[in-house]
Formats: sequence, C-alpha cells, structure tokens
Amino acid sequence: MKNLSLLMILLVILSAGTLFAQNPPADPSVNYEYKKYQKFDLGNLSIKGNILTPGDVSVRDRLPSSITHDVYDRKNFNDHMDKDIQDIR
Amino acid sequence: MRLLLVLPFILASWLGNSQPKELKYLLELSSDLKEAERPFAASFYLKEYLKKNEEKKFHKNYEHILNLIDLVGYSVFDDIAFFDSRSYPFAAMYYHSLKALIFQKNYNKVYLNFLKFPKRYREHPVYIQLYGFAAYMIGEHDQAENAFKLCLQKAKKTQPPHFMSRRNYQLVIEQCRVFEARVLYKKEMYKNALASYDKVQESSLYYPSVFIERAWSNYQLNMYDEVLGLNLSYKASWLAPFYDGEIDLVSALSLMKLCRWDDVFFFLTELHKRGNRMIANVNQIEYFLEKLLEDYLAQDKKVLRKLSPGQKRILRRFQLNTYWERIYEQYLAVVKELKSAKLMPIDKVDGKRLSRFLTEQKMKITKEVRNHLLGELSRYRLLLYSMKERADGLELEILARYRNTIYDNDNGLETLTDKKQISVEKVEGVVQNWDYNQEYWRDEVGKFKIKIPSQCEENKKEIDL
Repeated sequence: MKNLSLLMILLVILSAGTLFAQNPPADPSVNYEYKKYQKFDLGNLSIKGNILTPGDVSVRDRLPSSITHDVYDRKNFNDHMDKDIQDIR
Repeated sequence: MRLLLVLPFILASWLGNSQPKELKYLLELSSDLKEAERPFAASFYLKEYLKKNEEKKFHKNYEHILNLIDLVGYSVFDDIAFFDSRSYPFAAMYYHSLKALIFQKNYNKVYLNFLKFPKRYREHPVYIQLYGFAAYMIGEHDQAENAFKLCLQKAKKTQPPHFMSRRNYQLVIEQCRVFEARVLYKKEMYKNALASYDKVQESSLYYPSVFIERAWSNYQLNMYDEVLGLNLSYKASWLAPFYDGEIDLVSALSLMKLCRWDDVFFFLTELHKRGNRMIANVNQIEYFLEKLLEDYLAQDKKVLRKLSPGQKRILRRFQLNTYWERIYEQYLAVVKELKSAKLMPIDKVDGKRLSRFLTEQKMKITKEVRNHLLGELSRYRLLLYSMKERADGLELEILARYRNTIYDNDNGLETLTDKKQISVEKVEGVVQNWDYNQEYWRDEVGKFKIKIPSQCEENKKEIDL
C-alpha cells in the first residue's frame, strides 16, 4: 500500500513537468513571407501544341433516343358505373 | 334471506310477462304512428312486432313494412334477420338481395342468382339492370350489352315495382341507357357509344358525366373538333360544380394529337388553376363540416353564410342523387320525432325506450350523412389530384417532343411553323326564347365545334402515341 502511494506521487511529479512545459521562444532571425497575389491574363496566354478532336472513327453517330411518357387514355368508365349504381338505394 | 332479495325481481318480471303486448296491438300502433307521420316511432313498434312474431307471418302486412323501410331505411332493421330468408317472399326482397350483393362487390353471385329468379323478375328492367351491371363487372360484356338493351326495351311497357318510387324507376331506365353506352365504349365501339350517349336527355342526372364520356368517345374517333367544342359547352355555369379536370385533360390530349403543342399548355394551366381552386374549397368545406355538420343540416342561415357560393355549389354536387335525398329526409324526420317524443301517448317505460331508440337512430343517420359528404369530398379531391398528375405526365411528354423537334431541326427537318387560324362554329342555332327546363337554362349549353387545323402535316411527320 505504501509502495503504491509512493508510485503515485512519483507519477504525479513526472507528469507535472510535461504539463507545465512551454514552447521555446520564436527565433527572431527567421522571416516568414506569404505568397503574393498572382494574376493570370488568360487572353494573352498562348499555348503551343496541336488541337485534338474526336474523329469519325471514335464517335458513333446516332440520333437521340425518343422518350415517351405514359399519356392517360380512358379504357372504360367503371368508376362512373360503380358510383351511379350505388346512388340508387 | 336471499329469496327475499330476489323475490321483487321475480315478481316484477312475472308482472311484466303477465301483460304481454298483443302482436295485433303492436302492428296497429305502428300503422297509426306511420299515419301520424312518425315513421321512426312506427318502425320501433314494427321491430317489436317482428321480434315477437316468431312465425314470421308478415305477408299480409308487407306493404306497411316495405313502406316503412322505404321511409326510414334498411339500416333500422339490420338487426332483424328476416331479409336473409332463403325463400324471398316479396319482389323487393329479390331486388334488395341483388343490391346487397352489389354493395359487397360479389358480382358473380348476382349474375348466378339472377338466373335462378322467377321469370317475371328476370324480365323486369329493375332486375335486368342489376344483372347487366354484374355481367359487365365480371367481364361478360356481350351479356351486359344485351341486358341493357333488354332493359330499355322492357321499360316501354313495364310499370315501376311497388317498392320503388317513380323517380327512382326513371333513374334506373336512364342508367340502362348510359350503361349501354359505357359497355359499347369498353368494347371500343365508339360510334355506337356516341349514338347511345346522344339519347341521354339534358335534364338527366347523368348528363354531366355523359358530357365527359362523349368527349372521350370523340377523342377515340379522332374527332378532335368535337372534343374542343364540348369543352366550350362545358363552361356553362350550371356544369361548374361538376368540374373535375377531365374535360381539360381530354382537350389537351386532342391538341397534342393535332401537334398544337403550345395550345396544350393552355388547357393544362387551366386544369391546374381550377383544380387548385377546387382542392382549396374542398379542404375548407371539410373543415367546416367537421365542426358544424349539424348546424349545416339544420340549414342554419348564420352557419351557411360561412360558405362561399362556390363551396355551396360543390356541396350541391354531392347532393344530386337519390341516396342523399333519402338520408337527408330521414335525418330531418328523426330530429323532428326526437323533439316530439315526449308527447307520445305511451307509458313511461316505452317512452324511455323509444327516445333511446330515436337517439340511436339519429346518431346512426348523422354518421351516415357525415360519411357520405366527407367520403365524397375526399374522393373528389383524390380525383382532382390524379387529374393534375396526369396533366404533369402530359406536360413532360410535350416537352420531350419539343426537344425532339430541336434535334429534327438540326437534322434538316422542318420545325413548327406559324399557327393556322382557329375558328369556332356553333352547330346549333342560338336559342332566342329561353326555355326554362327544370334546373338550368337550356341554351347555356351550346353545341359547338372548334375547327382547329392540325400542324402535324406542316411538320411532315406522323406522331403516334
């Protein structure tokens, strides 16, 4: 028990050093410089090289697929009949 | 000691049994009350009579029984099993047995039971109509068509049955005409269907729905000018409460067939605009009825002022049927009887039982009225929503076609050109002398044709849906 309490005190003393540790002071001889604003004039920018476009071989020519939606069409009037027959009671 | 405690009850029950009400007395009392325009009190005593009449020998009094049933409704007697008898004693029983099966959607049984009926019933329009309906619902369209034709044929020489009012009988005959047209539509015989629809009179209760059905038949026959003419006629103010968007939808479809895609949007916008207005009104009516149903039924003027004229017209739409007329009459009768129940010349015990019976009946009928109105409102709202959804589907289709024309244009095909002129032609001459016919001004509903040239030829391409 006595040994355990001694061990605890020792641990507290050791950990106190790390807890209260401070950063070393900044070196005044080091100068930090941030990147300056850079402007690109895209109009004057010229790129040298060949323009490559997909050729007839690589692109398959086809018409766009036509999309059809379910357009309503009356097949019967069952709903009307059901209502009418129930009205006479 | 125990015997002393039980003795008063035994004596009371013995005394009660020692003075049994004679069956004859019950029946006479019931009859007198009916004469005194108290049908619910009369049915109370009739029920007592039927419960005590173990032999069920009521054939001599069947007219009185049926008249009462007609006044107060079958639901009053639903706890008495005399309708379940296998050998139906009356013509009305045959009819109501079929009707009950139709309400249960047991169409096969209607079809089979009818064939077992005695010949005199199998040749009466009222029964034939129910048989034809059942045949249609189970897919026997030829049988159904024959049945409705037979119904119309027999109607010329047959009188209404004793259990049915002349007005209801007239409605049954009108239904035979409309149902025949609907069967023909289902069989894709659109020209014949149109011929049948044309025979439906403007004063008929079914005229507003026939209007839509005629538009569909014309649409199927590619007679788009007729469809658009019907849309114009449908603007008559008396038809406004029947609006459910379908006439605008079928008009929009017709314009799509004519490749007049810009014009389609006119009807779709109209459908959304009127549909939204109707839905808002339906919501407000529902809220109103939930809170003030009984005041509305009593036609309290202060309460009625809370409804706009448009809302009143919508409610009226659900009251244009015999079912509503009957339940509303029953409601008014039971309220009146309940108020005067205390003045009945009967003993205290019977008085209490009677007022309890009347209160029960009032609750039952109020519930029926509420279910009818709220159910109809809910169905109407669903219908409007479904029409709006269909309109959205059509809008997408039109936009897809627009997109296709852009590609067609890129491929050297012609696009839509300038629209051709639209002309409206009135088929029937203007009626100068207004002929007031029942509930509306006859010349409100004009018969128009709108001549709209197709733009499909301009595009030099056929578009098939």
